[in-house]
Amino acid sequence: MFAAIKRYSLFALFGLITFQGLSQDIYEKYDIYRNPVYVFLNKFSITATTGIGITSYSHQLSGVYFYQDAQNQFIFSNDIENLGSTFSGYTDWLNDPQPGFETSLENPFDLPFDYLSNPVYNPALGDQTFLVDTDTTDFGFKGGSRGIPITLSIHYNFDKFRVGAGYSYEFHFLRRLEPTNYFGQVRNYEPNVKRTRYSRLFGMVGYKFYSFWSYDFVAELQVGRITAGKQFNNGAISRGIYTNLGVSIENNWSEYFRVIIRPSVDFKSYAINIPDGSTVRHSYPTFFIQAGISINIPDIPRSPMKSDHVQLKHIYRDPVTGRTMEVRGQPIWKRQNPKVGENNRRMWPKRKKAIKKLKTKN
Amino acid sequence: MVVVIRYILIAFSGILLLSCGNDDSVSTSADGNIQAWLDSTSISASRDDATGIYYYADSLNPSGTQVSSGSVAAIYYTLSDLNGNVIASHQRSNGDSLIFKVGASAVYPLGVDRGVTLMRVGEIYNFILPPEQAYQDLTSGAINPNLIAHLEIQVVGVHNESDLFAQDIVAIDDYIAVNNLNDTVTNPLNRVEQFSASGISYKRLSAGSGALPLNGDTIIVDYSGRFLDDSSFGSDSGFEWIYGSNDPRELLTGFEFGVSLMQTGERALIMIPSSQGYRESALVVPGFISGDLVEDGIIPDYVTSIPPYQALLFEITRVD
Repeated sequence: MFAAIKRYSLFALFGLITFQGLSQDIYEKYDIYRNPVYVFLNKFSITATTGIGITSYSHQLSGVYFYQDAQNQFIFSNDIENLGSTFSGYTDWLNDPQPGFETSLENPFDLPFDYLSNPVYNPALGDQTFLVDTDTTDFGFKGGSRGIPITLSIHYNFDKFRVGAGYSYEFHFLRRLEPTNYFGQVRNYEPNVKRTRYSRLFGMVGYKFYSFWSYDFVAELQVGRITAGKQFNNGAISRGIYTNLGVSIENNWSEYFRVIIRPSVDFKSYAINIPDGSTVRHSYPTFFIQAGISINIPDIPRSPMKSDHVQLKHIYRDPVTGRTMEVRGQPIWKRQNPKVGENNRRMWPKRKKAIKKLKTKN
Repeated sequence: MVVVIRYILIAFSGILLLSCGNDDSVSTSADGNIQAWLDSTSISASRDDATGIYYYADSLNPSGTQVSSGSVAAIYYTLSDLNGNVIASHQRSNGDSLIFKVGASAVYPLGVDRGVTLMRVGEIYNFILPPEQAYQDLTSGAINPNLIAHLEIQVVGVHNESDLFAQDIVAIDDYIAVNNLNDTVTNPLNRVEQFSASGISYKRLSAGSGALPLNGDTIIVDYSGRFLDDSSFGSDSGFEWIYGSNDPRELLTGFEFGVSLMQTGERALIMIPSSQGYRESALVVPGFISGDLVEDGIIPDYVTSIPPYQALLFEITRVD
């Protein structure tokens, strides 16, 4: 086993050296110097993005009783054989199950509870108690929440592929969830916290499947681990890995600098364990739209000549040492389609004038 | 292909038109339908602009007592649709008149509450109720959503609520006398204890032991309820609550007061006038829709069991 891994590693290393060797040919032929460390680092892209996330929480209750009175909503295992007229259920099953106060199951608008003045359409009737065994009906809650993610990642580029890793921190704002059934009778579920955070640590792979002018379209898959803030009782929660599928739309300002828009979808869920043995499984996929930048560390330095603003890579011979080296004439963020080497944008007005002049002559 | 697209566009336009519908349009269309019906029948009706109810009199009685808010009206009625199909009726031949407290949201549909204030005792009015003053989107028996209800109402009396409360106490006294509850030979243990302030009467039927209930105690009782004519209105066994906790709501005043006098194991009959019971409760016209109204959270559950101004008897056994 170890021998096989070693053999394949050697093949991979050999391939890399060969690849590097081929690309070095022209540089060796003309004795053009490039720093090998920067050449290697240039293969990496560092990306930072932020944006907005819309998370859709939903859970289907099963194996529990759901009970609501004027003040509270509870769930508790339906394994209880004889449901008495009082019980203690659990609240906050979204994030941190808490035992509720002992509560009466009696209907407060039936005998022998007190009469109600102005009884017809009395608003208090909206607080009717409600009890349902969730195994006998489809019932749960769902609703959307918002988040602001900040994501940092690094990936290695080879051909059209990329592989890397990253970290994302999301400021997350929880909202109420609406019942999926019994709309007139069951109130919304109100989370006991308004905000939390999510941290994601992920690995990623990607493939550049389409290029147009200075735009690249890259399909990306992230797989990783997600943790929530202390507002979620992580001791009671079982989370699996999460996956994120997205398309990174990258506008290459230069071969070192890209502006990115990345729509993506998180697929994830967790199960929360209620102390009475019941479990609630929550699904909370998120749609993200993020924007940001991605840079590569340049493999060549700026031209030492201050007046050198040549956009494309070009050769510079040091008059003192006589060493030939490849340099660039612009900072990394200057817009330049790496395919064709666009003119500097400062030149655009002059170019327009020239075109206009030509048209007038014709 | 063009045909398909055309049909899709037509369907889409239809959906858009339907989605534009709202309560106002329903109301407007109901008002138009009522006017069209009045035109077709050559009936001259007045319109109550505040509610959109149309009304006309079949029989007037200018010397009768005006029905006013806070009084208790006694009525007979016939409910039908605009085609003349009778949905429900309660007339003299069916028994006593139906009573409800006026201006207290104690009658369904609420259009009746407004309508009777236009009437005097002895008069017969016809009310054409638009859906929002009638049954709205209720489906129950012959009542369909957005029904325009034609309700003929005859007011046969107006009472003071305080008189009805006083009558209950007299009726309870009569019950005690007729059933010999103060006869300790026929009914051993104590005589009936009467509390003049509330009108509640208490008869111990069998003795218990131990302390009287204290706030915070868990009390469990079996009870059966009946009216003064001994017809039953409900019962429960093992009914449990935290005494004095008002959780989930206060108990009926007379009920908890009665239990406050009971020891564990004791059985007692508690007689509660409507002033300490369900008072005006609510009148539902027609009665068969009560269950659906409870389900829709429009009326409290007890309305299905307790008519307005009924004295109640609870035979309670404390079993905690």
